[in-house]
Amino acid sequence: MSLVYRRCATIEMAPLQDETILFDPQKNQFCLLNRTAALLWNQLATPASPQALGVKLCENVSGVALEDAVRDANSALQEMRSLDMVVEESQPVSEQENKAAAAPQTIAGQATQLPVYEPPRLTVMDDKQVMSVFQVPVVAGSWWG
Amino acid sequence: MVGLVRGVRFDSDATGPSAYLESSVPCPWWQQPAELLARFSDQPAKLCSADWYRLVDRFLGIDSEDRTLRQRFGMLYSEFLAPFPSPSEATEGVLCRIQVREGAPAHLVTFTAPSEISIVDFMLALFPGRGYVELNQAADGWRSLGVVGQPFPFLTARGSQVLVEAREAWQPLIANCALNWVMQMQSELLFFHAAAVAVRGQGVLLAGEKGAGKSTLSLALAAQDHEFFGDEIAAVRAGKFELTPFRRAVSVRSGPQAPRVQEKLKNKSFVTETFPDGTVRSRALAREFLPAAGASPRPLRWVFFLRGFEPRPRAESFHPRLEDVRLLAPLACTFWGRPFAGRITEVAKMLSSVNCYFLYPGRPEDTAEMVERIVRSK
Repeated sequence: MSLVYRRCATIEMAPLQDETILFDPQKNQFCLLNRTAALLWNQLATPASPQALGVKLCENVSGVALEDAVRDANSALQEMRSLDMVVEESQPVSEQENKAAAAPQTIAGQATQLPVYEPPRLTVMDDKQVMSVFQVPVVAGSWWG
Repeated sequence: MVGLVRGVRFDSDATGPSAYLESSVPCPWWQQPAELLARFSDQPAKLCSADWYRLVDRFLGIDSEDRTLRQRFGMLYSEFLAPFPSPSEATEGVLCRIQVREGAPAHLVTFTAPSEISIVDFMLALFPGRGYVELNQAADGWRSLGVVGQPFPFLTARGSQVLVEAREAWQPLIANCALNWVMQMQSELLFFHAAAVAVRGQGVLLAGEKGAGKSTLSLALAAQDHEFFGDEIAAVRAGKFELTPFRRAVSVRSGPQAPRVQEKLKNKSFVTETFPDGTVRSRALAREFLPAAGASPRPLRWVFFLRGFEPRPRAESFHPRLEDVRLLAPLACTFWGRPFAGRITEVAKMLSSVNCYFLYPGRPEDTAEMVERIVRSK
């Protein structure tokens, strides 16, 4: 058996170009994922293990060793779990997992066109911080004149 | 002319609030609002005496003894006029009752709604750039709103009761407050400062700063018989991101317009108004000006952010980034009283689900044609 993770169904998401917004309406909790964390989140549409996610990271970015990618993916998953954004499940070790385990130890430099790796980052913000980041202009149209 | 209102001398020939000269009572009206309130009826408003407007899903009743406000509201929002709502529909909306007493220094506005809001806080949030400030000289239980640098309030409120300074231009403020209140109640809707049309059944939002050409482009598209949803405010149903009509009377600027729009302006006489920014505009009901451009809810598929004018129109497709969310300019009522994070997520979700373009407008007809071409291409 291995541990896999999947998204909580109640979490809302807004994928933007470089980041993804996650929002838990029940807890009014807002979280901004950087590109790498967003990539992990996208993979979690179906249950995935840290090992499988590490492999996925290595396929999609350059300059990271598998060992580091798995470690970072696991760390991000733990953070997401502590924020109740993913749930943990036990699952029999699959063929895919075995393949992932047998993946090359580093894929760094394999594809130079890929974006350079940056560790996954989750930024939790309260309402004030969200307002400060987005700086949405408050508009009151002239609806009378 | 000088009258006497409960001991407060009222000079109606003077020009400002300072014209209320104190006599036997040392306090001006806003410091003794209860005295003034006694002059107004405390009977509940009658639902049947109001004009009812349906603003998407909720009703707004305007029961005004001030004819200017009632007529102006009726002119601008004529397309929202609705048959008399059922009592339950009416009580789920907002009823704005305005009482006027001759010679009184203030009018009484009473809002009836399912839940109360703080009028002073609401207005401060709605109009952050107008220099409004809360003044400390209100009577117990009341709150007063004034303008920076002026010692007298133009409004004093307690709960749902608002006393407005009769000599100030209070109508726009109250009308805006009532409108925003009804919009704010509709948490399932997002409101934006944008024009909106539908091309081939696909909702198109035209966002941009004031003067960017939103109205001109939306009218140019509507003149091609595309559905017209509004030129000032766009309403989008959250969740399914469906554009819904919000058709206030359109204002057409003097200046370049699509030939079909020019033709319509020539063939019929419309009221012209000079706006506070000095521009002269023709005012017309969308259903009269653009009879073929009716509208019914459509899925939002496209957002064009209008940028600077160029000799020839051009458009650039882009994937929205975090900082682009602010370009949509959601109205303050969309956020008020709700967790900001949840609303901004809705806005970001909306933006990430549509095709986004930066649009550099050229001649209105060319720009409209380009928008049509882009929408048709997918």
